[in-house]
Amino acid sequence: MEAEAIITQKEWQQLSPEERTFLAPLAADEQEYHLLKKMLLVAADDAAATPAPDPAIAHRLQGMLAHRPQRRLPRRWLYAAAAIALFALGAWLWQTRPGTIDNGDLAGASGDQRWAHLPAGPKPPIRVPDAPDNKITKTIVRVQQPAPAPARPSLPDPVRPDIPSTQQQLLAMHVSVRENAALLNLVTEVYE
Amino acid sequence: MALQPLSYQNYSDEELLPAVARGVTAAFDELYKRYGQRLFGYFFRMLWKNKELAEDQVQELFIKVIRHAGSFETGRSFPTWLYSIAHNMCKNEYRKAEVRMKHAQTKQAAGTRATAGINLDLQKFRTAVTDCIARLTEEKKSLFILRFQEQLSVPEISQVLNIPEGTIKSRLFYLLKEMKEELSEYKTLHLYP
Repeated sequence: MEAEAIITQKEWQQLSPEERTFLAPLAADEQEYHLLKKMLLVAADDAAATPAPDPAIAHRLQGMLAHRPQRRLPRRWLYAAAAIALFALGAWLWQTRPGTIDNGDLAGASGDQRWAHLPAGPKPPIRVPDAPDNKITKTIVRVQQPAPAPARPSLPDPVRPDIPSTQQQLLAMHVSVRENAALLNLVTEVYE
Repeated sequence: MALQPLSYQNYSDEELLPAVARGVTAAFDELYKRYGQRLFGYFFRMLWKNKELAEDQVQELFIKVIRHAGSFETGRSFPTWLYSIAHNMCKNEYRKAEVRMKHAQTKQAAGTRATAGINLDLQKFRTAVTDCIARLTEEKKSLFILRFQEQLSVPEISQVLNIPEGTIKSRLFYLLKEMKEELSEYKTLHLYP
């Protein structure tokens, strides 16, 4: 038992010899023991005599509780949703990156066709070139790039030769306004 | 027949907190009823018997309860949690208000309770004890108030102050000894029959 518990609960006469020995540094005699007892009683009385806090505090706190911003979703759900959205975006970007086969093109294609980029058929036999010293040789085969097809002159419409061909119309559309003085004047007039 | 409002009287503190976190006013009222006056008393005695300051601190403390009700660790004791927050708030007040402390001590001496009809010796002794507590350092005062006025147990005080139980016991022992020596002139007074 702690010293203060003994003091508050027991009278001097009720103390056992062991308790008196234990309390000796604190209360050597009955007077000192009673002084401590009185001190603790007065302190406890003082605690009971504390004034009450302003009731307005409780009302203010109730108001705060009622009007505090509610977090509708727990934060972990937001994190999960964000992770799913990021994954979906990543997957979409992966599928639509340049150089991949469009799924639409593969409609009806078998699994082998989807992944094989080589033409189907019997594989050519692997030929080991005759190399006397077993050196690995690298042969660079230059792939002939197909020459760009020459632009074909567009022919006028046999039915309406007065109407310019589509190519001529397109060329006319690409003419800059600056190159055509009449058009430039017209545009300047319109804007003024 | 009118519906009776839900009573939270039989709920434990820890059971009330989730309801407070959901914004249930009745649950909060119950918590305030249990601890409002007690904590106000603690602040009042710790903060130089300054009522306004104690009220501000109580309000601030319950705002913290409202904010953190959802994140309260279920394994912990709620009163201990409350008192540890209150203790830290008092420490902050002590740290930042040295001048205010001196002012409040003089105010407290003047504001002793009306004692008409009470034994004059008892009144003198009461004042001496109050002054003695007021003169204690912040740590000793907190220890004295928590143990002898708030009636917390040694293990609870150990959690509130974050100090081992053995240290609390020895500090209490020396604190009582120190106070007894300060009040030694009242040794012969017979205040209680």
